Amino acid sequence: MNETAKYALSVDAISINYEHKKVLNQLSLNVSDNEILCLLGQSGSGKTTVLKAIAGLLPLQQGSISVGGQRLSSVKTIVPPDKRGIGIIFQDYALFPHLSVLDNICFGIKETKQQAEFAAKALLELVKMEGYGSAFPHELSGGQQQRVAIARALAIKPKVLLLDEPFSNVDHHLRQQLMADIRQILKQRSVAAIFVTHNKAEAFVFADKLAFMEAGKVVQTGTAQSLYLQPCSAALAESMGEGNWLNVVVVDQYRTLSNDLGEITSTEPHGIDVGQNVRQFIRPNQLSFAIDGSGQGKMIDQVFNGDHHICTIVVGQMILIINQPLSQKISVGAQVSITVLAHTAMLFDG
Amino acid sequence: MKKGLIQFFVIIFLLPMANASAQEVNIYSYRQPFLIDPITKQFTEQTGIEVNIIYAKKGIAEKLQREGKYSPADIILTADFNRLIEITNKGLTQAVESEQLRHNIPAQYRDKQSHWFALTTRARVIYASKDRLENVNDLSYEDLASERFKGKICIRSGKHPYNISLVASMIAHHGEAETKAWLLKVKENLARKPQGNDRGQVKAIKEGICDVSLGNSYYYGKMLMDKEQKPWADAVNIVFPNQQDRGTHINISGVAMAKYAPNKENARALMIFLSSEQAQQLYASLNMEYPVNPKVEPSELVNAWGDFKADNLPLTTIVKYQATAYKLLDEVKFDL
Amino acid sequence: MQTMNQIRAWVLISWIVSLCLVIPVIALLLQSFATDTALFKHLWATVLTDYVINTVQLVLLVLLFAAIFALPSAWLIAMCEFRWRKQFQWLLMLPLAMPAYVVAYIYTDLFDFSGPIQRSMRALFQANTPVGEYWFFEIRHVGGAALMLALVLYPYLYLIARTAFLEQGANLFQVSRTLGLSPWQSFKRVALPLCRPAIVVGLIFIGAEALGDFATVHYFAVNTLTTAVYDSWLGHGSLSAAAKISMLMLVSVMGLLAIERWQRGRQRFYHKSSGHIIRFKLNKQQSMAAITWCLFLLMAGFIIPVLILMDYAVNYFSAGWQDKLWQVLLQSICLALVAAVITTMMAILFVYTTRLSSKCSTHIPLRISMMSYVMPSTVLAIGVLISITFFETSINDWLVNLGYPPPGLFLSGTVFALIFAFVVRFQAVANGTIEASFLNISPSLDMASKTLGKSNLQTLFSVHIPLIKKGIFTAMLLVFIEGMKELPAALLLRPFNFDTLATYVYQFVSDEQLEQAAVAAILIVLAGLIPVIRLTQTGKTSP
Repeated sequence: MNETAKYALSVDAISINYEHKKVLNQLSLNVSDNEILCLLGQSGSGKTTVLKAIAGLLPLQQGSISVGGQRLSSVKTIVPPDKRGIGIIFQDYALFPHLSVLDNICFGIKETKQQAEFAAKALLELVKMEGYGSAFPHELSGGQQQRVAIARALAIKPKVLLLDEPFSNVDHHLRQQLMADIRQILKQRSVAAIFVTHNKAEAFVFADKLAFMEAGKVVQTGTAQSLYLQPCSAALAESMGEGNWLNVVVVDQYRTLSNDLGEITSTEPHGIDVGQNVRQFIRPNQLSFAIDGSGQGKMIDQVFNGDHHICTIVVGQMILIINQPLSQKISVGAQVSITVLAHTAMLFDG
Repeated sequence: MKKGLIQFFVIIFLLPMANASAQEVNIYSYRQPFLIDPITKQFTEQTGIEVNIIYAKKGIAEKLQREGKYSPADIILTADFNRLIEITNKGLTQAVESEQLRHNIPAQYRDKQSHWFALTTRARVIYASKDRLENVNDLSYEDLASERFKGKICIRSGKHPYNISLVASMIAHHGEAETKAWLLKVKENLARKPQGNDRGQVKAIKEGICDVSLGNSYYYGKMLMDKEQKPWADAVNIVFPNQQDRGTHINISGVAMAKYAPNKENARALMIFLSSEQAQQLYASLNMEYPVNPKVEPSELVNAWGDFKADNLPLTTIVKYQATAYKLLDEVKFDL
Repeated sequence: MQTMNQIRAWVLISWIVSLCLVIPVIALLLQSFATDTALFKHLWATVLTDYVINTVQLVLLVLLFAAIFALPSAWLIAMCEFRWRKQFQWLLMLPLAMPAYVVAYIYTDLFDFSGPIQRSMRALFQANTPVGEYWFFEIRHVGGAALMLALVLYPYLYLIARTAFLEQGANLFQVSRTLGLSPWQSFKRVALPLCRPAIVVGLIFIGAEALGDFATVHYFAVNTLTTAVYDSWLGHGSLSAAAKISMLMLVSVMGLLAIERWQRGRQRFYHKSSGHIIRFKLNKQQSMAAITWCLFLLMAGFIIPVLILMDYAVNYFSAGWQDKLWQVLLQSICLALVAAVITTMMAILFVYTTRLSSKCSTHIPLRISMMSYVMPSTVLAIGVLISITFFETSINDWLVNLGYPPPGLFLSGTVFALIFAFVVRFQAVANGTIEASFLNISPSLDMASKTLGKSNLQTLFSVHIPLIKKGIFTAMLLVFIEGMKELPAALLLRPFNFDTLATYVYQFVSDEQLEQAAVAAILIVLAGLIPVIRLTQTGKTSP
């Protein structure tokens, strides 16, 4: 029994070149049964390429891909896309414009026409699209097309479902509902899924586990919380949410020293050698401030953001972004002092 | 730049018409340039009259008719009798009274009303394989329907004017029903579907596809003069059919003056020139046809085939049966 | 109000121009109303059924062969990666430069019983095999004619289909694969149906050419409806019967088109291109097969005929080369060029008008100006002749009545008639290409331009024309190539002492003496070749 069998999908150190450029470089990731993995990363980091490789649409230069312990892609052989049982949903849904909604869903079902239509109707119901069977894709809204695309992909009872930026073309107010619906459908059908996005909010809501890609590699995998609070790279830290960069010197296992903010204490040891010059990342909600006539900071801007204010504060040479509870009444121009709240330090080289 | 371009187009497009004001004569010709060009060149050299030509195998009558009285055409040259009569019957020609034409062209080769004049004659002969056929001298058109030639005949499309004329002459001699029966039998005897031209049939005989074919006499001479085609001609004997009875069917090429000819005098001069010994000689030597002018001998090569008896059925009679011939050919599905 | 009037002006001009272009068809239509029941009865009773069957066979076979030639190669070139793909991309267009009757001549010469291939076969096997003793395909047959026509016509479909495949993007095909369909099934059920509008357009062009062809089928002794047209006109002397048959052909094609449109129903085929196409890398055997296939098309449609032509040209150089060929060449090029420019300009006018207003009436000029493409070229030429001479004689009569000297045949006696005929005939080619390129321009650009203060005309020149440059170029080249090859109209309508390369060559082909005109035939091919190469080079900038 090998290692891969534990997972619904296991991608093992794959590399893909395209036009002499390394798009994927020894990338690995695993998805457990019934798990939704979100693949995050900036555009150009190779996210879509991963999906295409998993779907068997691209050959590998290195590594292998297995589903349910069965090897589907390796350098030498590749099970063709139609024999893999992996569904894919593209960003533009790729509904066949010449087929009706029902025919789109029936497209991949290899049973009698009657059975196929019966199954397709059940799926339409599942995605709340009853009554649209005879419509053509161009007659549907973006969200409706999305639902049809899901139904079509589910029709072949895939072991793994791949979704490429599935919500980017859906109106914001529909998005939350759609995500909840689809997540429910996936869980209900116990389908493992990978979905690709560059939007962290989608990732937080939709995924069980997040994987962050950088330069053709997965650099960190974990829960949303762990990636948010303990990112392993500066790029990851930034793409999980805004923050402030400080130049600090490591004082000891817990403490660092900043010119402007003084000593900062981590709740966990950070493991960096004493005396090193590093950059520390502090999120706006990990700082607070209070009116202080002798404080070094001065508030220069304040923006309302629903559940808090985002304040811009100048400290010496530095500009800090700090969240301010709505209850706190401090206005622009005030002299303030800044406190670092207890958190685990995020330290990165140079 | 722009000016240059315009000038360029003017030169390219209008140059051909530039000499429109000079002494000229305009020809609409069914006959091919290789034959007509050398003759008109001599005419221009002698008279100074410029000759403008439009060649077309189809539609000249239509064009003349549509252009009506503003037509620039002076003269129409045709390669066969059918077309000549067609334009005459449509009233697109005018009479040309000329002593010289009457002198140069025997009476049976010109219209009584002087609307059309034949320039050359040619026989519709049978080409017979030298190797595979003997005793061919007494062949007749009627023989082509006999069992002897089952699967042995090659022919071009029955709808070609040359064949139409022949069929029309058969109708004139034998009547419609008999001709239809003849056509059916000839069709059964065909080695292959009617196709190609007269030379192609001779080539087919050489290759052994068939043993006999129908063709115009001058092709024999022309093939002998072409290095590629000489072996084809060498493989066959030229046979003038029906020498024992009515004689071989002949067709003519001819000329007529357009009804509204703007350059009447020049046209007349050209017509007389075409019937003159000089031009007739060219017809004889360039295209191996029989000149109508009795003073001009056929070319040496043509003379070598010997004299033959021509069917003296009046050409106008043949034309009368032309439509019927077409109908019969459709009825027996000759080309299908 | 200003814009409404402006739009009205555009629509009006479109209507006037397009009506001018359908005058010949109308003339024929009027002509066909003349009663000629006796002749029709006769034709029905005798040969017409066979002609119809032959015609249907011919057209269907041409379409089938053309599809077999064009679609796989278009797919290979668009979607697969193999050696020399980039070269084949334009090499496969070359047969377009070959006139069908020349190819037909060359191949019958080659494959005939008396041709070199069968001769050497006989020499090889047995000295004196009589006819019928061994099997060899009959080239002078519907199949042979269809093959020849398809061989030179398939590039139309290839060009259109390749573009359509590229525009589909990769996603739809890939989705189909992940839904469990093999590549072949995906091609059949997704890629091909999506190209349906494009394929239909390509097939219409090819079908119309096949339907109207006379020179080639005549050469192959295949009697089709064009034979009936000629027989009625020249043999039975009834232009009205000829016109009637042509009209029936036109109507039946229109009917088929209508059925196709209706059958599409609410289906759409447009899919915003997405998914970067990653071409399948073919393995060694597949590559070999692809190269062989492309090479076969190239050889059969171009290289072999050209080599044979060159052989003829060398053997008959003294007969074939004449100084006047230079002038003929220049005349042909100018004529084709002028026709190309005019048709393209008019196509832009028609298509742009349809953008200005969605009213049905604005679309009619575009559609009706394409009708004449389905008419056999000779019949159309007669239509042009009838209408132009009618116009001229009326003007002449009028001037004479007023006491002026008649100006004579200032149109039909000059190249004007020829240019007009070419434009009428090839307007459809330009319309199709220009319409397709306009489709790629989002209507919001029009609006943006107009809100920025540009008039319709300024918008056309500052926005659309720069954007469809490639389409304009393609349209002009296609018309140019067609113009270089066009025969029947040139034969009937050329002025005195005027030859085009096509008429020059045909004089000899019709006499089965192509050898003598091989040099001229090569010039046609060369003149067509340069634009074909340019055409595909501009195509390279597309994905």
